[in-house]
Amino acid sequence: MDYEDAIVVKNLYFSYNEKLVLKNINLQIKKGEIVTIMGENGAGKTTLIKHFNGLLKPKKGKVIVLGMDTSQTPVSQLARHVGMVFQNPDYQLFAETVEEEIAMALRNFGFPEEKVKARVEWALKVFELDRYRKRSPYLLSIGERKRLSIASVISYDPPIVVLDEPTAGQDFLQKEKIAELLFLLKQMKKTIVMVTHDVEFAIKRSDRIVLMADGEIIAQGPTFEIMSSIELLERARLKPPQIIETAYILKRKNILPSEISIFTPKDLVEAIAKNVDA
Amino acid sequence: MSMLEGFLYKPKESPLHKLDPRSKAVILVFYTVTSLIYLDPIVLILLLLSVVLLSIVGKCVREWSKSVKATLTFALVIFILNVLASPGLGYTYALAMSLRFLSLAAAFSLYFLTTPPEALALSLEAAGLPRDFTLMLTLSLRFVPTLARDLQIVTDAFRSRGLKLDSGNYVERLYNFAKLLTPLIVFEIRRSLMIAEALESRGFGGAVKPSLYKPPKMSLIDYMITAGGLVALGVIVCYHLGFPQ
Repeated sequence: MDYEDAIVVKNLYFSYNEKLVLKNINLQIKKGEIVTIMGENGAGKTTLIKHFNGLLKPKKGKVIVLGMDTSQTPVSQLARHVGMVFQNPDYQLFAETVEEEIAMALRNFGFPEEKVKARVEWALKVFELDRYRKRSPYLLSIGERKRLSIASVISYDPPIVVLDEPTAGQDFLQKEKIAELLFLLKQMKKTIVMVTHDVEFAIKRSDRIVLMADGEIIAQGPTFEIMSSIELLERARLKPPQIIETAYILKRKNILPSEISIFTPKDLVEAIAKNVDA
Repeated sequence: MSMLEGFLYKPKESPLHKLDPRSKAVILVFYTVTSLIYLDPIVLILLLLSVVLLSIVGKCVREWSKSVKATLTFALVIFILNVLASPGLGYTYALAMSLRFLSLAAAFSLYFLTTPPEALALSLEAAGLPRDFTLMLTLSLRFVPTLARDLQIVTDAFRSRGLKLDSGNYVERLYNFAKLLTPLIVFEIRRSLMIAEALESRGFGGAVKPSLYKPPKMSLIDYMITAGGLVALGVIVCYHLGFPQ
């Protein structure tokens, strides 16, 4: 087994009530990578990530996480290595205070009490929740609740973090804060798997994109390669990022040369400037 | 949750599904009254067998048997409690009490399996019941699968943070399950407030009593079943009152 890989999925099949929802999934996620899984509703994205911490077990095939076969390993053991942040924070908050909420998973995993305290303090500071420590989680704003749900997972330091729709229902400022957190996790050498519909968010923050449609992986590769293919994105029923779409129109109208790669607004401005000069 | 599934409407093409909820309700009242006034195990077994036959007519034996299987545990508890609490009345009495519970659960399960909640609400509304009451009934049935899904999501979220729900001793597991209640209750209260606001913004509870888009209609068979059910109910009650056992 190659331990350079954080997650290896081999010929995975899964069905709910005899309906096949995942078909022949093959995927490798390297340690320290940020991988984004994208696709339309019902494509099987959430079903796939639930296999990473053993909440769902393969009907056929294998899922290996840090060398552990998920079908042979209990969720409580896998959860220590794979932190899962669910889409809706309200489904996972229960404690009377914010600090108790963060401490919950740490105590479940048997951390000594002094370490629990130290980790809680760290998470409260990093996630800017310090001043709410004694407040009920349900009295926080939606953005703060989202941060708390991420904090309660990151606090126990899992090497792999899975985020389901981290930007859903978040305003621009909150999205930027989540982006900062991703950057921090990347610095901490975490492996990050994200599920999102937000192409603008994904294009800036992912190393690699996995596209899913109808329970299958239809494409996977470096972010730019996948995001530049309008046809592939259409197959996954995704709208391309604005910058890619603009470049595509300009190339079709022969305003820009077709072989040029445009990924950021800076690339576009430079390409246009070059063209104007020429 | 499989027990609840046995009380949820399953659309199918069967004579039982085609009947009006009101005529089926008369038969349900007949079953309820008969099982409540008779304590003879043979009568109760006959009642139960007739529900089996009706479930075959209603093409929902599989779904119906799920609810019956789940209620068997409760029936066993009722039997044991009756044996322990009323030793003087004997095993026949305890058996009759269990059978009474089983036949009631079986009849209600069949009724809800073959009756769409909307049609039931419409019929009750047409029968003059207040709209608040009928809406409450429809919503409570409508949200059973939603509640089951919410419970699954909350369970997954907590297991992902290391909460042991499938290992450890029973006390520990019960304590951990109790933790799921907080997010579940908070979420359902929030959802009910959202639904109330959505209903009000669409004019629910206004001063004008709304007319029915498709008023429910009883067919000739419905009238015949209603009349037959009422006569049978009258005979049973008169027989019971006239010749007390």
